[in-house]
Amino acid sequence: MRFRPSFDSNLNKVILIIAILSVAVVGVFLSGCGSSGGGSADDDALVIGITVGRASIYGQNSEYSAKLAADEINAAGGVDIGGKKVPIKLEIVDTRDEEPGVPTSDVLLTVEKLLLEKGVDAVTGGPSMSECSMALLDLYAKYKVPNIVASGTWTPAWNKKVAEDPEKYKYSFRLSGHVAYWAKDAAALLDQIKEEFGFDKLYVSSSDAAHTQAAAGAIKGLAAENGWTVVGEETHPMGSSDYSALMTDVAKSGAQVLFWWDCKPEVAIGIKQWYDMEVPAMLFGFLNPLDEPTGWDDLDGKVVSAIQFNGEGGSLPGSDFTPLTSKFFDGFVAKYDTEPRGCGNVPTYSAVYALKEAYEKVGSKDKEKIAEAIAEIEMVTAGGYLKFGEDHQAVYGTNPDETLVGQWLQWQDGKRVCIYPPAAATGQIQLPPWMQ
Amino acid sequence: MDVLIYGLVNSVVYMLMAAGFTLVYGVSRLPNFAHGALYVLTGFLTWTFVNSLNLNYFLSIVITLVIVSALGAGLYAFVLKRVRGMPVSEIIVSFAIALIILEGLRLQDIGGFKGFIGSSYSLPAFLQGTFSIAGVTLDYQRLLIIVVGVVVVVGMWVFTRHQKVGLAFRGMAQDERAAMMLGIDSDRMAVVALAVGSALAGVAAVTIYPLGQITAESGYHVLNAALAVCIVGGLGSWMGAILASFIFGFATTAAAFFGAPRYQDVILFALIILVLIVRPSGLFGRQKELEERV
Repeated sequence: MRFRPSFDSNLNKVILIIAILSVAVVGVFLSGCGSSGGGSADDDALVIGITVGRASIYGQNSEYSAKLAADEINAAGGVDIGGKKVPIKLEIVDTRDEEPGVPTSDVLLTVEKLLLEKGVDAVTGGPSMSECSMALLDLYAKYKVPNIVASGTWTPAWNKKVAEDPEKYKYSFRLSGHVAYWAKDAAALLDQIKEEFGFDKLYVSSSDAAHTQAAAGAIKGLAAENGWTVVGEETHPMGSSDYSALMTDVAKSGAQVLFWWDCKPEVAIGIKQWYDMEVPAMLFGFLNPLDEPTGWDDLDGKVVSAIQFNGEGGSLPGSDFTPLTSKFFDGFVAKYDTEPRGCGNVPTYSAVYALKEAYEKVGSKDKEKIAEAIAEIEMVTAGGYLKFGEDHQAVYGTNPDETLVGQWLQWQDGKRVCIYPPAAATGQIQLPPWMQ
Repeated sequence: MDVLIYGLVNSVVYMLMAAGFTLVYGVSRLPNFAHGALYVLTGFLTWTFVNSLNLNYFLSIVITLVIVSALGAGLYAFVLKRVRGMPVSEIIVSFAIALIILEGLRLQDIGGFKGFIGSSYSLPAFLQGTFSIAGVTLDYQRLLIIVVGVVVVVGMWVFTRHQKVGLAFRGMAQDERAAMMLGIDSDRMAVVALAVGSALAGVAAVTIYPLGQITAESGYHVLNAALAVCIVGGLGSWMGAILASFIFGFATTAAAFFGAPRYQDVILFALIILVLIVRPSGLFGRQKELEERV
């Protein structure tokens, strides 16, 4: 006998299909909610694509700062293109880089969709993952879209690739820094520590990832050249949940400074263990929880004296090394009711202003001319003086009057205090309480 | 001595992460892939109650555990019950729920919700400070983890031997059909198991999170840890889960202390493979052996 489904069974199926369709429609609706800034239906608007991984702090930094810059520019009348003031319209897309399991190909598809469907005049923001930005170089070259990477992508391989074929990649620029700059900064800061405290024994630790190991290796090499003895080193898995072995080893090694480069939030466990075990070595490196403006409260004050690379300069309280630094900082706090984190914030903010400068100089949306104008930009930004090298990499150094700068902070009395570079420093380096 | 003390702590951490998963599978044969998500949800809910609603920390924990338990019960009553007995569907559905929870926590700009993104979410330690045992410095929060681990194990032992519902759990775990013939309602027990298992995930979260920070990503780590412990211990076996937790805890700690920290994960997975080659059903598992006998 043939089975005949009951009315209830069919009804259940209909309800299920309606439910699935409803979820799909809501999902499509939500994924499409990406336009911001300007709020105008003006067809002449300068449309800037913002490519960010919205679930990551770097993506959030970029998005917030892009919106801040666009709002400021629009409030001041917009961008003067050929004598006509037009607003900036941001087309924000979630590249989902930095989320577990998202392949580079998905990121490329998202950006290609942005370029094909949204009619963007230029792109800035991320993605932050180097492999994604490297792959996107070819996509931007194919569609001839001016773009400025301003979040993460700290690999020197990016500008090397651009330098190998400058004609092909003439539309691509990078305003965020790269590890070679930061390693140089770290070495100079180690010299400062050596001079002030007489320390010369270093322990180097990193998580088991290519970029963190490369950074740690670069620091180790530079430190050894400058008279430091590397008394110990280790590599641990990404996302470790116990750092007692590391801290015990550091204490036993006689190291006076622990240089630690990691990229996972779980390192908060290690920071607390460093404090609780009163490890007799200054903590110094790049650890995400130390970058949070609320890091002191989040970790019960156990971040005291920890030195952290804050990324591209301009995000620390009290910084006013250019006339625009405090404008950015205060504007950010006023808009978002929180202080900015380091990485990606100032570069994206500056990138939007740099695009404004380029479009106003060219006076049209001619993409080739815009690319040429970006290459020739020299301007004061919140992060220092901006100019691009022949490899389309923004030049970083230690003098904000001549180049952009990175910033290093130390947690002191509940606050993030800039201790490097000297031209931007607002405080002196302090030892951990148990080493004083 | 370092290895002994920190190995013990890390073993108990594994055990707490896996306890709820083991209980649910033992009683209902349901692999609850939303286990890690419930762990994370507990952390963020407690954080929200404490920091946004300014509730007392302990009260926040109690409220959160009640909510997470109810969520676990609802998960079975409204979703998993429909697919029970279809192992692939059970995994897909519970993992889909995990994804909805974990990725939902990171959504932004919906009803003013900014998303739990970044490294700024943490729960305060119950006890601050450190002490020293045989020259090894340990903080009180880690001591508390050991205490909570012991309480959970002893509590579950007493519960499954001296309480009516606990005895029904054992009956279900030993032979579901026989238990049903004796009047035990299988679905009702599964609801209770999901509720208790979810609460155990919550207990683990509020005990372990004060060591570091709350992140959505940790849900995947907790699920992996629970799966590894349960598979090696033998799915559904409490004793197996405890033994596997100690193997993992001491193996990874010893690797870190004896100069091979980067190989912790390699050692962990090598152990899993080794155990499964020697005993395909895990250390205390019986399913595969029974199947082979049939």
